[in-house]
Amino acid sequence: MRKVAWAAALLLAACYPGGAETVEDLDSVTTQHDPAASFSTLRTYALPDTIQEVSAPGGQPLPMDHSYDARILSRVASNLDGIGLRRVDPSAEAPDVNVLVTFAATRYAEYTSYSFYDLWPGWSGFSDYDGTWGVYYPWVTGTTYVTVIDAGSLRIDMLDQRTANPSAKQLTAIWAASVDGVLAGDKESIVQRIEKGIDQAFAQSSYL
Amino acid sequence: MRSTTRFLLALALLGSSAALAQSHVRLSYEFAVPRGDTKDYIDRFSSRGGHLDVSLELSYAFHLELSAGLNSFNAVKEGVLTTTDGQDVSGKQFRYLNVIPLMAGFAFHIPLGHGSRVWAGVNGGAAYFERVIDLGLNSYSRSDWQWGVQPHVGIAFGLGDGGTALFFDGRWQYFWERHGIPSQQYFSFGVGLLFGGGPSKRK
Repeated sequence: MRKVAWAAALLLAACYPGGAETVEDLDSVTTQHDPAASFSTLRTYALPDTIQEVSAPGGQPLPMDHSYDARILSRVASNLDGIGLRRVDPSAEAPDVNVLVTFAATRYAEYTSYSFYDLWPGWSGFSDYDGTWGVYYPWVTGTTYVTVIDAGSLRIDMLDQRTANPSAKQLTAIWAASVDGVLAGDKESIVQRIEKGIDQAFAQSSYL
Repeated sequence: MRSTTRFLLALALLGSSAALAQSHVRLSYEFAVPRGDTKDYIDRFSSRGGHLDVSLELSYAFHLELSAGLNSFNAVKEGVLTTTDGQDVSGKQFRYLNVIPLMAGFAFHIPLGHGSRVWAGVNGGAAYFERVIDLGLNSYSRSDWQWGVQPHVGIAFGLGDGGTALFFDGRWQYFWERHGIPSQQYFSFGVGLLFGGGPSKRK
């Protein structure tokens, strides 16, 4: 009877999604726009042919492989073309908006306390200890466990050239998108996830 | 003044050994089915929940009910989440809702003999709603208390002369809109044990 009860409890617990199970589950796309901007009057855009690296606050910056820049920029351009904008050479024609693409890759290390005794309860090697004991790392303050996450963010900014303010030396970003995720797996799969994120950024911005 | 007198009378009744002798405690496992705006937020039944009810007989068949519970919902949803600062965020949303209702009210208990009984009543009070959405590497949360009501019915089957009974109950839990958070509602169904429910006697 007790076994049946345990089996039922485990079955119920198994039915529940407990959180992310794959790297893709942690992918997200964030977009934001200026509600006062007139997107319907946009006609042209300019797009630099490189992706520049920026550093995210906190964490340790990671190097980026630029061999996929052209492919990623092509995806951005095809989406901009898809909403009816025409790409122009800014040296020949002033665009309505400049679209800038940047990337930040960052390693975040998080130190989390843990109790070693509770992880191997009853192990004879810990017979002289109990759950109140911890581990001291001389090189780190406190009882810690290190979690490392490599995260990447591709950001697309749409800067309105028509409303440039020379006196304040300020350009207004009327739309921004951030494709965020964990940098794990081979490069091809990461680029595919970025391309999917770029498409999603435009799909969820119906006002463009 | 009249309400104060009634409150003191109720306290006197509660304190009397006669009243406490008919009192009982119900402990139940509970699953819940979201409805309305709660269903819009988390469209999945909950199999994680429980309730503790203390029932104090004020007069024959008329009970004061004190109730505390926990219902935990979670589900996965795809779509775009618009945050309070105007961001549109898409991705796989892992949604969680924990509800802790704390209620008090009255119920009529009809004894059926041999420790069995049926009851129906209404509780009122508040519940703490904790909403969390894990999306990507971020977590969004909003928590608050909401006032509500909890009509409930139940039936218990005596398990001998010791006053213990197996019971089944159902509740409709409705909470009003507060601080911009829409009204919440869900049905919950419990199965549990009733302790101390000796045969009720007319006074």
